[in-house]
Amino acid sequence: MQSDHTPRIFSRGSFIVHHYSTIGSTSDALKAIPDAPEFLCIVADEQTAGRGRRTRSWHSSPGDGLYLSVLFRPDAGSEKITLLSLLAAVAVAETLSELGLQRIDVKWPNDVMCGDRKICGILVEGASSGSGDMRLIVGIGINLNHHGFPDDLVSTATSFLIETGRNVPVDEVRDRLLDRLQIWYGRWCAGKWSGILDRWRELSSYAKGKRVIVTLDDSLINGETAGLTDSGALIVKTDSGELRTILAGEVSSLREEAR
Amino acid sequence: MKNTERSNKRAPGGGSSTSGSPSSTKKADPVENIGLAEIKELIQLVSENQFNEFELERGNFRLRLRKGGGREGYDDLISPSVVIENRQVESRPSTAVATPAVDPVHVVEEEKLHIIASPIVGTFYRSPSPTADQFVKLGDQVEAGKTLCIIEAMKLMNEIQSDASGTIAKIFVDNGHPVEYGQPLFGIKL
Repeated sequence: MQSDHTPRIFSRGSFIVHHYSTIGSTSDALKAIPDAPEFLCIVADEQTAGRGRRTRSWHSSPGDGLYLSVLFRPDAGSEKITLLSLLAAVAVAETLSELGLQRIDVKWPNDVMCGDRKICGILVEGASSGSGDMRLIVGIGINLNHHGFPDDLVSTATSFLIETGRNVPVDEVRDRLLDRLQIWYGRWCAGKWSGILDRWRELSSYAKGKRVIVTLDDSLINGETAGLTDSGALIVKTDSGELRTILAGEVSSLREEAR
Repeated sequence: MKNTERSNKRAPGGGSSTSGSPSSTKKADPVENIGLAEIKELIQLVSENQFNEFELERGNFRLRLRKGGGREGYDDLISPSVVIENRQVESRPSTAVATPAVDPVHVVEEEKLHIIASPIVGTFYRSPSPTADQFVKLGDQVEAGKTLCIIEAMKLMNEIQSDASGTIAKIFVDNGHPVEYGQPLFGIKL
């Protein structure tokens, strides 16, 4: 077993991987390295302070999941920077599909689902002063070999093991995912943005015609999804017929909401 | 909301200067907000003619253009009495105010603020989570590199860092509100 402070270091494609046994949060660890090079990746068998959007905690039990953060340094001025958030979900969905997972869905913008239960959460954090390149940390948590979940998650979360009945080697998922991320990030850098959006639409039932509720900070929107904008924002046709462009907020299918 | 920003800007080379202040004694004329284009015309007029000083007052808006002010004029500008109360001025990004800085006469409408603008479209958050402390407050001293806010779009949380050191003099957007690409977020007094 690795000590907490001594990562195993190796490379995978363009990535330099630092693999820890235990860490607070892989994204926080990456953030703490100010001059980290692009493609630096931190992986941990266990996170003691894993977190999601707006600092919500993320359940990260030891050895059951893949907890990984990678650093990209895209051009801060790119209007398509937000596509990197959708791109990460595409990479995860393809990885899990390659490994035999069925019923994969992507909930806008980047929750990877199996049916209507979440199997992977992604949090993308950027830091920029508006010019030059930006530090973009893509944090990914995938539930792989979990037998079950705490009570508050049991109805909304699932794992590769629960869905397929078999364990999957975490390191294999890590390597396949890094390969996929490298391919899709390469496409983003080459300006192949429509390919990213097209692939997302193929993988997601939320792209069009899905009944959803969007929870904003101070209101709810009921409606039906009606496509994506070029920057990956979700277009929702409200029940009153108005088209709303959703940039932030929690999207739930009506079925989820009924639980 | 009332804009109580003090204003100062200098033309390159420290030529002439102008200042604006609210009218406190003028009778209550119908308020006509003066436009940027109109100010530019006035600057041109003063530049090309023999006036040393020109003053215009409309409603609660007063504009004074003065040639050859030098350092003394500049000091006048940052005195506390220089206050603009004009809603139209507030809604205009102060970066735009720099445009009419025609040498040797220069208009001052807002305090010389370094503007931090949004690099993306998204939702503006002043704290890392709903229950956490705000990154910065009005009056805070910040160093370059300090995180000022988060803009969220497509679950990409973009921490916007200051590219200058100074004091937070203006916060243009309320927490949780949408922002456009290039929209001013903070004004920093350098």
